[in-house]
Amino acid sequence: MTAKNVIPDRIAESLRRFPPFSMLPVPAVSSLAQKAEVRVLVAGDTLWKQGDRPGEGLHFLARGRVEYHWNAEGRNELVDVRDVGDLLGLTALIESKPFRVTATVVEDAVLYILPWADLRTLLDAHDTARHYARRHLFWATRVGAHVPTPEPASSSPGTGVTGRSKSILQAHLDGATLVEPRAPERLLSCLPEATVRDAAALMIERRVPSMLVVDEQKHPMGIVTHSNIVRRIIVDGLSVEQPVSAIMSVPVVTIAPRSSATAALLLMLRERIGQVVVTEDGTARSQAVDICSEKDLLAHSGHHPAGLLREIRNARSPARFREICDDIEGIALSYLEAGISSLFLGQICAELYDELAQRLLALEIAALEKEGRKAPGIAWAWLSVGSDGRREQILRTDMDNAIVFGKGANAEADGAARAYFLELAERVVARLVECGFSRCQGGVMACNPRWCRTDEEWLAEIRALVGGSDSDAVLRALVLFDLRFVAGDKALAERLRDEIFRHASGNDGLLQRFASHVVETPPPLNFFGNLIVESRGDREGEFDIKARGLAPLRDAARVLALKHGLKAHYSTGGRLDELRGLGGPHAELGALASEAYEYMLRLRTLTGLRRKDTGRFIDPSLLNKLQRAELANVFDVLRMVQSHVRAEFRLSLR
Amino acid sequence: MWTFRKPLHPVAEAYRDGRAGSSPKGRTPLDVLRIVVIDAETTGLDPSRDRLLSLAAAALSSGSMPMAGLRSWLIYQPWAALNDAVAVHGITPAQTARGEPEEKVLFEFLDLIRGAVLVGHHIGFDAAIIDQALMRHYGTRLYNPLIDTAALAMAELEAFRKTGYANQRPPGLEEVCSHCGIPMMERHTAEGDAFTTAELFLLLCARRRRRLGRPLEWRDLPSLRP
Repeated sequence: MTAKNVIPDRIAESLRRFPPFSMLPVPAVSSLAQKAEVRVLVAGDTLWKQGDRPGEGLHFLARGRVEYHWNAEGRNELVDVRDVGDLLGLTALIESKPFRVTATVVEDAVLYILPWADLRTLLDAHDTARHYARRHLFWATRVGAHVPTPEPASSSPGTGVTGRSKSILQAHLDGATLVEPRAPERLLSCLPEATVRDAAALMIERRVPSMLVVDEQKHPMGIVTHSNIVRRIIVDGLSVEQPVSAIMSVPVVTIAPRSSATAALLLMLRERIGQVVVTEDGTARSQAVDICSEKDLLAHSGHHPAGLLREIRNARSPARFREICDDIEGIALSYLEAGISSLFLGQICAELYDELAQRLLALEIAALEKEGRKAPGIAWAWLSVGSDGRREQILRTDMDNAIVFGKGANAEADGAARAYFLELAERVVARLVECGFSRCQGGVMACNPRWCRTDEEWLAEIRALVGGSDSDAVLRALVLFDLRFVAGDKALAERLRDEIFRHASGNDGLLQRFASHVVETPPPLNFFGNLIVESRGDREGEFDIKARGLAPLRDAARVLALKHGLKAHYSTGGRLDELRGLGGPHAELGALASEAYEYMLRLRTLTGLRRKDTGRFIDPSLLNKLQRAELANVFDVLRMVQSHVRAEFRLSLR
Repeated sequence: MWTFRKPLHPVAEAYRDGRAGSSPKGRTPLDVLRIVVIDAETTGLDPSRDRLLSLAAAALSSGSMPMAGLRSWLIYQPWAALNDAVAVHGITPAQTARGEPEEKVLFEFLDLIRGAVLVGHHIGFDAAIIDQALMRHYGTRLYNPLIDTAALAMAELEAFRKTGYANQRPPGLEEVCSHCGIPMMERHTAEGDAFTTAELFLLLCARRRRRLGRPLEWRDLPSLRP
């Protein structure tokens, strides 16, 4: 008997105590360990220099400490510290780019060098480990490239949802649901001069539901579908000899090949269209490659949010709505666990919950009419405010909504309209409660007269809030300023939103009051970098991730969006992404804060889904080493954001 | 007068050939040297009487230790006794019976260490035991240059400096490792001790390199033979 592999097994054991090795099968780690190399460096040694090319091996720090220094513009900055169990050089290897930082040993270090080619194969085959590695991409070094969140911006047609660079691992992560363009011969297209008759004949012959209209360079110009033909030719009575350009739908909504199918579906949901065009670079200014219909995309997976959307549109009974909402949460959990961004998921859930609200409103308006209460013939809009307004509700927590309706001719008409809308809101709120939402403890509900007002009243309120300085006004403004249109007349809602931005962006006093809210709660880290937990009450030993982590970042995003007039997004993640577009110090701030927010939202949502509560309180003892380290990173970012806000809004140090 | 000498075994001859000219020059960079860290477990502490029970070698390559270069052998000793040493290395007579023949192990070992610098903790003892075994089977002894990590530790680490105190003995592997914060892996198995010694050697070399502020050369290390 030869005592074979005793030492490699020991090395495998120490690897397996840390992610991503803890997430890989035992034999795989053992065979990695057998190919490992041990290297010893002492304090003061340089492992690699900024700009060096990575070798064939990934370094695992078995003992000691290594510091990352970033040298830029003559300044040398300590950007990160790696200690036992950390991986070194992963980012450079994954991107096969030179090291962005210099790695210096500060405590005698033992490193296991693992063959990267083998490890990469393993990561490709194991989702959780790969997901860990993907996160590591960002947290490994806080300088340089930004790892994009897959959240689509509230895009204008034609800009598409991709064109964002994706890391190899991210692409693999989304691999199951990528839009793969099919053979180009399959694409049916014609020039804009072709007649409707010819186009229709071709569509019937080839049995496809749509025809793409392209110019000479094959750039997409519009789409002709069955419904276009029905509407324009049969209903409107146009001649079949008209060119297709007269009846085609414009503009076309485009995506790039290999975009996330989920993102494409979301885009279709938002734009209310049945198909998107795949073009070479994702814009309408390149060659068309394929047309994807909702059906094509749904073929990728059975259990899909888009399916639920249809279910909502067809549902009637409270029990059915409840079931659908349970399904939404179920899907949310599986998506989160599969590594889909929680910000992105918030968007999906918001679409679904919006659809739910629209459906419930329509049903209740019909029911009221049956009882003889006709809707007053004025414009109205159902608004989401607070977290729902920011599209961040993945869990069914409490609802935040409001109604705005057009001012009538006189006070009497207003009174009648108010009575109607309060009654309508009460019914919708009751049905939402049946679906599993809870009533807002703060009374932020459309059935509360304070949140059911005419446009004039709202505008007056906004002006008052902007001027008011009592804390109640600030809190109300914080909720109201996140308003988002859900149903009814969009122009009414947009008027309120424009008014908010118009008044707030130049109002230093208001912005300062908002900003002081941001810095009120320090990050829950003590001097030693340990998490601070609640010391009394029934939540003793846990910490409140909503109040101590999410809220300050969310408030920071809002106040910065208001100041800089960033109106394109509603979500905190979107606002932070938009902030990046400002460049300068905001660019890095936005990138870091967006990752941090994403992380906390995910943690909260997963905790909530597992514990069947709001997920607001986290027990640090249930977190693993990695999560604790990541949280510490997140709170470092929070601290950075707070000091930025303090500086930008000239708040005095307290 | 003719003395009858057993002709040298071809394996031993090949080993001796490999040795020719292999003694490194003073300024040879350490990184180009073949360095093999070894450890042996034995039936006792008397080289003239005691026998090899297991042997391990870790070949280093330019300053690091690949796992692929780690070898270990369990050796069959027909007369192994259940003595005090068994309590240390844990190789029982029953286990040694499952070992390979000493001659075969030495054959592979010689092949591995040809032209290499050997490193070990208290390597003088390991070398003496191996010498005896080599003499029995192949009529040769070890000709490799030897480096004792205990001596290196005394030169490099303040805590183990020579004091002039007459009874000062070189520090044990465990003492040095706990001083340097190196955990003992599989203590008292040849493979574990060879691995630990290799780690210690790499650390001591790195310390010395740091202290001298240049890459190490052969002359920077205290060697025992040839």
